[in-house]
Amino acid sequence: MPDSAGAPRLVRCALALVLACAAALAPTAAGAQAFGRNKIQYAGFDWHVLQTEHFEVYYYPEAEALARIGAAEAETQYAVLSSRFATSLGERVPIVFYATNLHFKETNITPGFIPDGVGGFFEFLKGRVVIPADGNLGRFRRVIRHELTHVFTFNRLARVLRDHRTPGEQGLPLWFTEGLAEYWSGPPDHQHEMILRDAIASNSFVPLHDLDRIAGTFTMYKEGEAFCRFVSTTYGEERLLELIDEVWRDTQFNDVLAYVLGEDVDTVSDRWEAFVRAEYAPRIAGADVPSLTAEPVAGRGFSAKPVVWTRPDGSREVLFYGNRGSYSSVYAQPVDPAMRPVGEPRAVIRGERSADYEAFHLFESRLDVSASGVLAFVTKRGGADVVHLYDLAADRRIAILGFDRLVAIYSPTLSDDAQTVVFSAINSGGIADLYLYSRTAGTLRQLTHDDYDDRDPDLSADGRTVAFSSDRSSWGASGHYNLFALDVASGGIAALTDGPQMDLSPRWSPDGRRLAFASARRDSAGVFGAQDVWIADLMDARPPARAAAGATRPAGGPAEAADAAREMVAAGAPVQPGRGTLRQLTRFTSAAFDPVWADSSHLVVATFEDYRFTVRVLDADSLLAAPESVVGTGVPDVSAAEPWHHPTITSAAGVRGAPYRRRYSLDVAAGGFTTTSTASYTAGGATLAFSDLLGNDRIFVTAYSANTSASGRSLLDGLNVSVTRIHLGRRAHVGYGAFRLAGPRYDRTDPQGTSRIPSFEQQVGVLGVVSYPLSFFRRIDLETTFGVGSREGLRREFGQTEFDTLRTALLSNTVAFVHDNALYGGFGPVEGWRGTAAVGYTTDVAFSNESYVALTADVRRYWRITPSVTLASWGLVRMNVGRRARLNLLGGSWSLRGFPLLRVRGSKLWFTSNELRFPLLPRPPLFPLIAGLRGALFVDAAHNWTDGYSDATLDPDFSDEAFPLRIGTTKGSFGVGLRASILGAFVLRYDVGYRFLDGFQWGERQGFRQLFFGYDF
Amino acid sequence: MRTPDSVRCALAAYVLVALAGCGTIKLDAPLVPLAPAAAPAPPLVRAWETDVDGAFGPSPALVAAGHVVVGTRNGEAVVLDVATGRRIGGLDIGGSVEGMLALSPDGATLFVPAARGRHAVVAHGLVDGQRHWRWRADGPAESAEAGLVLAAGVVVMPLHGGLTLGLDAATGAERWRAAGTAGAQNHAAPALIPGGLVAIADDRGTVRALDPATGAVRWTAEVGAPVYAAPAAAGSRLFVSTTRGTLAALDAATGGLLWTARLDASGVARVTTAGADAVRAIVGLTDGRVVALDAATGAVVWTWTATGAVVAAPLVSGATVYVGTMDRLIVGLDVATGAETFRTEVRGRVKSALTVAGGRLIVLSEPRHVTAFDAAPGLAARP
Repeated sequence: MPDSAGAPRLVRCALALVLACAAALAPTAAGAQAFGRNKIQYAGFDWHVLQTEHFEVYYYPEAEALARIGAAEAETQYAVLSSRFATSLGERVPIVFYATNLHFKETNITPGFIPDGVGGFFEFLKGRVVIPADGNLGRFRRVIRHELTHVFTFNRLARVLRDHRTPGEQGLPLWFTEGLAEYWSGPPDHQHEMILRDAIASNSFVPLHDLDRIAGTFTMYKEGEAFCRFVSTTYGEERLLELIDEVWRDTQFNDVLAYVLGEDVDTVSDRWEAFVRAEYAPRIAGADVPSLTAEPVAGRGFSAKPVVWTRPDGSREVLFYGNRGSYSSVYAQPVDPAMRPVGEPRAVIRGERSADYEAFHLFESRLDVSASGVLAFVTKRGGADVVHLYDLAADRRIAILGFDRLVAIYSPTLSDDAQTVVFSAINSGGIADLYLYSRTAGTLRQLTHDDYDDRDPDLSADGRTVAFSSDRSSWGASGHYNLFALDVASGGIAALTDGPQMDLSPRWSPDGRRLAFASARRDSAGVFGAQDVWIADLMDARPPARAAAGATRPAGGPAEAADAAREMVAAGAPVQPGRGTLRQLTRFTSAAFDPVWADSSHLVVATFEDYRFTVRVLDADSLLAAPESVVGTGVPDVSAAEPWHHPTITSAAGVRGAPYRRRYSLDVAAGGFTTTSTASYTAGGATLAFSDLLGNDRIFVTAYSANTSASGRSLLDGLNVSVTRIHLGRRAHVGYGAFRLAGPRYDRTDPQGTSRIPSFEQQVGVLGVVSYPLSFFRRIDLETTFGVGSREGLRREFGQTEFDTLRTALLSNTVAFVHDNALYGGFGPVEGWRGTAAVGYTTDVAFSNESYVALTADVRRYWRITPSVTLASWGLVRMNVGRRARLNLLGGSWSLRGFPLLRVRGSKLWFTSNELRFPLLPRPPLFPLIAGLRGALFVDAAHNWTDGYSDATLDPDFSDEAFPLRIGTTKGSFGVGLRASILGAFVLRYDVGYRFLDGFQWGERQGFRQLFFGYDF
Repeated sequence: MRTPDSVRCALAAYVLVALAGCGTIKLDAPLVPLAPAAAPAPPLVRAWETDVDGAFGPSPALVAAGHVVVGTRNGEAVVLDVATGRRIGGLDIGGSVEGMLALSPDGATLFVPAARGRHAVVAHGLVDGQRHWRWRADGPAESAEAGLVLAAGVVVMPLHGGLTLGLDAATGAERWRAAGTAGAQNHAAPALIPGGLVAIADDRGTVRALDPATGAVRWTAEVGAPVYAAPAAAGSRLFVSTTRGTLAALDAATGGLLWTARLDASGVARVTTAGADAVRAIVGLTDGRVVALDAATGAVVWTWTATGAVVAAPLVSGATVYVGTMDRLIVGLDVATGAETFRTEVRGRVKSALTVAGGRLIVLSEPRHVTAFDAAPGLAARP
């Protein structure tokens, strides 16, 4: 995980606290602020607990209905899994439900940042399951089944390992546990089929022995699922459980596989691949590969969710979300009249580096452009999503629309004049509905009012009808989606398609007579085919229309909705729901997404091929002339569909919620190992962390002794102990604690201490920290420490060195502003910038031995010259001014290269480093041991001084004849470096160059070599 | 070339440590083999509980007069005194013991199967404390995880890879090998059936009755689903439980299928080894149900549902059937009606078959405990 951005916020907080204790011995005040982005608690959830027979369900009141649906599913699945795994769980399983993905991102149960697309997770230390709903309750229930399979798998695995006294690291590979969880959470869905069809069609199917290479990818999940299906079909489902039960036999899972399946792993792998190919080859035979049949509009990197804007002068641009290995942005690609790309795309909206455009929902939310040239898109902005309206002609944002009750917003669609915005949104209870916002009136109107997942709305050109996709048909109970039309005036809803399929992303044709949409349908065996582009001709037939279940406007049941739909039709509205004709335009190997009309003759779509999303153009005229298939809508001549509901656990069943009460339990117990930047000793000890179930409250206890028997002092004398508590459950993270620190100390920051002979120091004190995030990228950190102590040792004053005891009662206050929007690669930051500005004041309130101000300004900027080459520039200024002002330190692999670690010092200094980072070998020899190899050219320079800027004096502690380190000189180095990623886990750095001790005079250069580990700055 | 002193010292230390870690069993007299006796009537009280320092496989403890012998996943066979629970001795064979053990008719030799390790079977002299013989597995496919039975002086042992092996009980010499169904594996413990035959069931659903003396197949039957639980013989019937929710009754003499009961329509629930008598067969299911069936017709007589999964074979004794559950309960049910008459909690989940020794109910539970229950004097059963 990269340095600070990837470093979990919690860990950083904990480390900051521990280091603050250590640094309290010599507080350099503003020098120790960490970088990193912020996990912010926007909502301040009022947590409650429902206790069912086998689960403790954690929820907040707004999401109670959701929690009850989740609890019912969990209990149902418990019965299935208990039987399947032949086991019962000894204790209730904690399940934490969040209403939306945005709320889920705030969880403190995992310290890491959660990206879009994570459906939930199982945390095995405390056995916690954490799942968001995000509007799609069918998927929510499937994720519950998936995560509970993990719970049972790990329970059984733990028992097997304990029974056979096998080390804990002898476990199951991720691809197997995730594959099993997918396999036992339900039949393969259309996305599973898409991934496997693509893997076979593009010949990128990963064999068994190589599955670790794709660990964590979507493909790994789906291949894992396919493997479990293969085992079940070929050898028997019992063998899946045996793979868990027999894991104790060998450290190599391949050997366990061979034992359980009775064949060597190569044979198993070959049979599996043959099984999958035999299954999928007939299905993709004759299908079109998108790259061979559709012209690309945007083919580099990730490109999806296209829309087309026609300028007043008739020229056109295709806008889409794009990511080219960097931040995601909205790009505009100019195209000619034949929809061929002209020149390079331009970035219209640069996302993911500012609070307004914190994150796009790249896979979930479509773009739209009005006829008047207004672009609508959604970003996460703080604790909720907002709709941005952006005038493309004027190249400026004209509005940000956010709504108090709505947390997540998807797929805004605009009227021609951009005064009406319709979108899908999820409220704080986790329910997805359609909303209409009138910019003219400034009012928000909820168009649908039920538990169904209403998504992908598209407003007709006249603004009277919204086409959308929903699971509100009777097929929705089994996870299927159909198309619907909603009459804006009456709220009546009519079904446009009907059947066990996935009809998604409808878009009106320019004349309003057709809808283009993506659809995945089941074959005769019930298996989903590719997701293709379809056209619904709505004028082919007159209704009777079929009203959808759950229509709520006008108020009443389905019968009223049906009446409304009929009225809509009878009134001659352009929508003619009913028995229209559906034409399948494409027959792709894998999938097409989000078709949109460029004009009446062209469709622009995103396609999935070779595990990449690209934007392509289709010739609608020729495809309509020779469609792959023509079918009816399937909407039966019935007046109303039966509504369906998700099973739930009601309070009538005696299951009632109670307020959450914090109970602490052991979170992490580890051997402590500490070293400080100012002391040349290390010490081992114990670190314990306790936390509540939600991870909002943490207590850290650290203890070790810095003395050894050889030091002549007792272990108790050298006892270091600290207790700190930090609360992460609110926006402002507040921590406090107490410490007792003692031990020998080589203090390079002490202007009057000797660095080569340690003093003995002890200090007792308290500390407090507050970290307030301003946004995902910025925060303010406040830190106060007060410590009383003494230091015994040799001190140098007025040119004399003598034994002395220095007593202090130091109060230190620091405030820091931190910004970090840097984008990280495998070796360190590659784009963006991060910086710190800090000021601190330290004073000895009892003995007046110290009193100084510390200032720091630290800015690091990263320019991405090409996708793989980065220029990094770092500027740093530090000043400690006052009585006994502490010295600042430079040197080592990260800062002033060519100079020993932390030995260039002065009460003031400036420093700059510039580095050109470039790739050498993406897959070097010894791969994956060496996961990557990069190079660097660097130039470092610094000037350190304590008195006058140019008062050059020899540093008495670190100089010798061969290496005269002088304070008051400009030092520097340049050279080349090699960076090797070891197992993708950490980076070895090797630098070779020349250093200059006093100005960059070529004749005084000294060669140096330096080997260290750590990410680039 | 001389071996350096340091290497020799290290080797000597290793040997000492290895020897110190090896246990053995040496008794004053042979054990006396016993047929299972009647279980105590409920209510029961705990007589003793012993930590044997190792977890258990699915098979029950081996019963002898005054003693029980349990195999552990820690690689030991442990002899306990039934009266006190005291550990008499432990034989370390170095590989996990998952399946059934056997005792020679004279009680002097203990046959222990290992699921992993160099020695798939060890014949140990209980009085002389010596290893009489051992049979080495030739690879993982010859793992003896299902256990063994002793019949006609032959140790009959289904191997993981599908073969069944007959070893001379006196010498360990291989007497015969019997092939199984192609691609099948053996997971179920063998069962002695009337006529002196041994029933072997595999995970393709094939049941074979073998002559232990020659390995000849006397009859073959198909039960249509994988068999992981040991078949159970009662009277003239052999009850075969499958992992797909069915229980089949075979004619033990001919292998003819008498009836098949589909107890779980979803096919997900596994069925335990049946506890059976001449009148009924009682099985547990992993969905928590305990089902009693008419032994003659396969008709369901009653069903009782536990709050946890049932994976251990129930024990039918007199008017009571005892059931161990995965939510740490021992429950007594009326054999005739399925009414619950008794329940008590044990230390851990019960995955091993229950048995009776010295008039006591012997329960093996997680994590590594053997518990003996006595009838509670003077207490009436709960209605």
